[in-house]
Amino acid sequence: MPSPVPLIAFQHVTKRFPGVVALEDISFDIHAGELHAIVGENGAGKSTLMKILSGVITDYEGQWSLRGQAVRFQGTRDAEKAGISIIHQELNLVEELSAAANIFLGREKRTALGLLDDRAMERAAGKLLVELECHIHPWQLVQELRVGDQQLVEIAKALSLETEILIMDEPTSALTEAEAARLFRVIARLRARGVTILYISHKMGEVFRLADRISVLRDGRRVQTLPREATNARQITHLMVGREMEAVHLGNQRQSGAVVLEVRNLSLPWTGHARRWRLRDVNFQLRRGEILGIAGLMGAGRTEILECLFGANLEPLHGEILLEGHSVRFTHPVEAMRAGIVLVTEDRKRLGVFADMTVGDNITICDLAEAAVAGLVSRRSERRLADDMVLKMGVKTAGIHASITSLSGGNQQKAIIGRWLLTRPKVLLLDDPTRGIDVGAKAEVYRIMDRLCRDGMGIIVTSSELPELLILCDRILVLCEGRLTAEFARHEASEQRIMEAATLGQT
Amino acid sequence: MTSAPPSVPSRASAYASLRRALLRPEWGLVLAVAAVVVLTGLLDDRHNYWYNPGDSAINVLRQTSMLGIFSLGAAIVIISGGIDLSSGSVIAFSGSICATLMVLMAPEEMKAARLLGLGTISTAIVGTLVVGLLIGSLHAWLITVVGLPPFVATLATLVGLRSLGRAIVENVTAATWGGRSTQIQIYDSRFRYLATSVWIPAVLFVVLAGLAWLLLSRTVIGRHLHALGGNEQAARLSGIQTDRLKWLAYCISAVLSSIAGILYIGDQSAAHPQTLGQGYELNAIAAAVVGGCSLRGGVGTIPGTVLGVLFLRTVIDGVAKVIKTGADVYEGLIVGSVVVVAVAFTQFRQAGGRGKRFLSGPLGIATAINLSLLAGVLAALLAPKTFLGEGMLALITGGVTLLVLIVLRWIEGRRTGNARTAPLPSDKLRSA
Amino acid sequence: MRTFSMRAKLIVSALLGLAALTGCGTSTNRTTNSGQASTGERRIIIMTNGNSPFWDACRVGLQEAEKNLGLNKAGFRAILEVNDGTPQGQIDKLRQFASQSDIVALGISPCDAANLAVAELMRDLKKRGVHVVTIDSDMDRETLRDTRFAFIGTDNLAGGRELGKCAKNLRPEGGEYVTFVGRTGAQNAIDRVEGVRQGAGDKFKALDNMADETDLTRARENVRNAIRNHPKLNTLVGIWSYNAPAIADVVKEMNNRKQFTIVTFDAEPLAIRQMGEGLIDAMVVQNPYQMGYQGVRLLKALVEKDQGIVKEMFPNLGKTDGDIYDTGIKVVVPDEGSALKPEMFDKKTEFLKLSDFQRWLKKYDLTGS
Repeated sequence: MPSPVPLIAFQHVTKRFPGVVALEDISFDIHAGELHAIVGENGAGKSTLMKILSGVITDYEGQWSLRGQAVRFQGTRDAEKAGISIIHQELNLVEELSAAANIFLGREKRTALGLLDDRAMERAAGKLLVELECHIHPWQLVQELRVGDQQLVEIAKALSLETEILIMDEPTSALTEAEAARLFRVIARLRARGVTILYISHKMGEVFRLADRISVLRDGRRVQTLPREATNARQITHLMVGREMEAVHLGNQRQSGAVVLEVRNLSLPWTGHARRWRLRDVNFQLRRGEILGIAGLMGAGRTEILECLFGANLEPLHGEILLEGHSVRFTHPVEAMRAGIVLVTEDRKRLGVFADMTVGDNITICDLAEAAVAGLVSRRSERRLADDMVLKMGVKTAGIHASITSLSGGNQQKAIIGRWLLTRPKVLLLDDPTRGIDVGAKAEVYRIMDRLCRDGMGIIVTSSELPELLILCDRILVLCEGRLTAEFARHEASEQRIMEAATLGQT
Repeated sequence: MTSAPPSVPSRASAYASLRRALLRPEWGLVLAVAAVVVLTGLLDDRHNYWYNPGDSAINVLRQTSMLGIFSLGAAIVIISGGIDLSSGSVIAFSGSICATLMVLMAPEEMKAARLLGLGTISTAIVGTLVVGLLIGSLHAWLITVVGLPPFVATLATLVGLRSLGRAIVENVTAATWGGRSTQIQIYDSRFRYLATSVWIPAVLFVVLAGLAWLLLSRTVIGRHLHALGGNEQAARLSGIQTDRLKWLAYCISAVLSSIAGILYIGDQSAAHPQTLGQGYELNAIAAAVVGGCSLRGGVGTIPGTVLGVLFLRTVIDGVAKVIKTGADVYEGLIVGSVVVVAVAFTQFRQAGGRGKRFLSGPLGIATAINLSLLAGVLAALLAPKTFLGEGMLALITGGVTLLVLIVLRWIEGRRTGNARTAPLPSDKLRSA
Repeated sequence: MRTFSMRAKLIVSALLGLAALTGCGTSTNRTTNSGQASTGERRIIIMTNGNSPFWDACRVGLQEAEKNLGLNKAGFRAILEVNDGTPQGQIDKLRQFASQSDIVALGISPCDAANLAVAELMRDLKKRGVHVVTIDSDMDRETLRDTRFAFIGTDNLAGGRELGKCAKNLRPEGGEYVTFVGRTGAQNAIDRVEGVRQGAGDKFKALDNMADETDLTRARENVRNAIRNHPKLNTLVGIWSYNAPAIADVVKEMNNRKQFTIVTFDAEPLAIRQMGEGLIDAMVVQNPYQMGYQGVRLLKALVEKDQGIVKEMFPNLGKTDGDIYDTGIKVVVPDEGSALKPEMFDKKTEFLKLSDFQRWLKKYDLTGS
């Protein structure tokens, strides 16, 4: 079925950003009509390559050809005209407009007078959404939709272009299992029409279900391209990482101590939303020296639980939180910090790092009082604290005076964890801490967490990577749409069972 | 399958569209305007609205039209995600340019207060509109090419244009008439008729508002302007030429301000760049915001802005009728309070302020003191002379307010829950 | 979600609160007597051009007239409406007054003598039966005389001449001078500047006429700039009331008092003190008290159609300049060491030493004039 004529041929494509080479000498082909999976670790260059294809990045070295002709796009319009469209991982929707308006944004249908033809757009949008088995109304505002539906709108937008080449960047990251299955049906339909699909994902299950061929990128280079039948998940992972993944053994001989944190009937309302509760009747305990994991799909409420524990919740919560037996009520993160509960937020770029400050400043910022005498900060004390923490966390940096943005993602994350450790907490909350970090740094973070636990800290960690939770945690809680649906001890847990509990009730 | 979709009535049903039209927030403003008119009619001890509505109506209509014309521009810029602080100065500058052009073309007639030729008048008007386009283009260049934030770019023209206007007027009058003058008097009755007749500004306003409404809600460009204001990155990635759109928005704003400038110098029979239109930009922005525009961009309507202008002018006229002499002293206070109340209310409606505590913590104590002092001072200023005397009245009012606020604070504190008083930035980014 | 009505309710209740606060006190607001019948009360308004202590004296005269002439008993109130110094402000206020039926008479000091918008609004008021006169500064007497019934105020041309004579007699060898004023387009400004030129004579050269638009900071800046830019400048002339303290302050600050002859119009409280300190050589003082008093008197007479008072104030009504009521000028000099003598001035001008002038002020309970 897939024809051997190369539809897209990359020739020595290279893209440099200040300080880093994102793509180096990429040369390979994509055949017409195939589903070509592109896999690689974060930072391997997948997104950069796709941005070149879709016209977002217009200056790069090397060249590539489309249907045998060399092309050089000036912008996204050129890519659209050439029949290429991309479904982004981060949604690019205008929340104040309707679904139909977003789908046709930039390509609005007009009446004979040249005015907007909303009716026609809504009709066409409605048809597309039905094809995607999405039940929203096309005139609903995007800001009112659930994340899964928002992603489908994004997909509908790409589909409305009637493309020949569709790029999908981690399309199932926010979908439930049922919605993902629905998406696969749509992909099958597209393939029957002859659409070529570039599929970026790190989920081996999907890749091996859908792909004809798989290309592996690592550190900006293409490592290898293999037909699906000729390989397996382990080999692909090996190619992605570059070495055998050492089975990380953690958690042996870890003893759990006394209960340090207890949550009773925690509920968090959700005003103005159909579901009415972000969290409902959540009960659990955390012991000293234990790592508790929270699993669940995006939007299930993992981050919300951590925010409630940290005093960062917007709405007033119901229920009770007990720290070392005493009932506590935090109205501001500063109170939680003083009590000994700290949170390392998800999305460190937006919510964690102070990009304009140095490594040292980022580390000492939460506990500057430690280095201050009578209100004035002693630079020497500050330096000492920062140096100590850099050493302890193993942060690879040119020095504490280096800019924080010069660090890799993994080292930034370690610096932020170090920031909170300076406050000597009793409970450490980590929200998706290894997102966007390369494998080596991930292992280091796991080891840090293990060490902290053995020293008696209680840790709660959330993640969407189930294998990670299975490695790390002594116990795993599973959330589904705000409710706790399961609790597994280490020996009981498996990816299958966790996924089942996370998608409970969704047929 | 996925969970049940929210129930929304079918769009096709006529009843449903009527219901949706009636639920629009603009009706709140219509009610508010009516309420102000009724209140003024009652509180005005001469009941001027009842016995002589014509004069007040004409006044309000004229003021609404003139303010409204350039408020449309302010709204368009705000909806596209920018801000234009320079409207008042553009009014001053364009008024000065119009008068200057007339002086240059017909120096004798202008000085001797004779009628100007229609050719002169039309050339001056066209020239002024062209100047508006140039100013808008300057803004667009500073913002999209040089990369200045809109606040900074229009702040620069806010101060710069007025000064340039003054320099031009002084130099042109010195060169043409031999005596330096800080203003140019306008005598031509036909030119002045553009402003003194109420119906010309009113019709102009209605036409411009209609065009603006058509642009924003029915054309592709209008849709793109909304998208630009709502999420500039998404707009760009959808192939929308955001820089061109910004150029258009700022040009529209500047040209509308130029039109207003022409009308204002006709109305005042003089072009005085130092004081013309001073502070007007804030009235325009206030009207847009009261009418529902969000300063974040992407949100706002033309009908809302029109009603916002009408509401502001009605309030100001009401204040003048009720306070009678020295009313302009209180005008700013009342308009400021109205804007705060209107916008705060819109925000609560969107973000849900039910659990909010307004008077907690040390800031709450400071606020309680603040509001009590304000109440006391207002009481002393506005209330009648009774046997108590002003000082006593101030103390009593202030004291009562303080007590009420302390009780409110206590009630708030007893409510269960521990909501924060200010949202974290992550809340805006969260998509579910 | 019926939030639109909630929003309206909130706005309405907020407005009710504010309006109740303001509305409570309107009819008995800020009057010398309390509680008059709120319906039927008619207002006589005097509108200033700007805000300065000059008008305080006018207000005293207005209030005295209100008391002495029994305005309240006859159902009137006299009010001084202070403008912000711009023609825009006057235009807006005139339009407001046109829409309020309880205003029966208006005395106005127009910011610009030739502003057609103000002229038209004055005519419009006249058409509605409101009696209009000009006070302190007139409309252009050649083209816009019909906008008002009469003018009450200083003969500014004569006043300017007296001031010019002060300069001439204080500096017989002549010199160069600069005039400082608020708005060069005001009739009183035009007349005074011309009068100064006539009174000072050929030996004096006018270098500049600097306007400050009633901005006090600019007034001082103008003086500083004039001194710096004109090395041979030796006479400083203040035209509007607040220009006097501005000039005096600046020469004191620059420490060059002895270089200049300083002659000014009007006697603000600060200027009076400054003359006592020797900073001002001569003041031509108007009589804003009388402007206020006679203004109210005339307007009341017009409303009540009292021809007797009108004839008494304007015996030559109908003849050239018969519609001008001169409130008179005084020349005030320091108690000691002034070279000026009463004979140098016009017979109608009152000549006073500073302490006598201060006694006169006390008599009328004024702080300035």
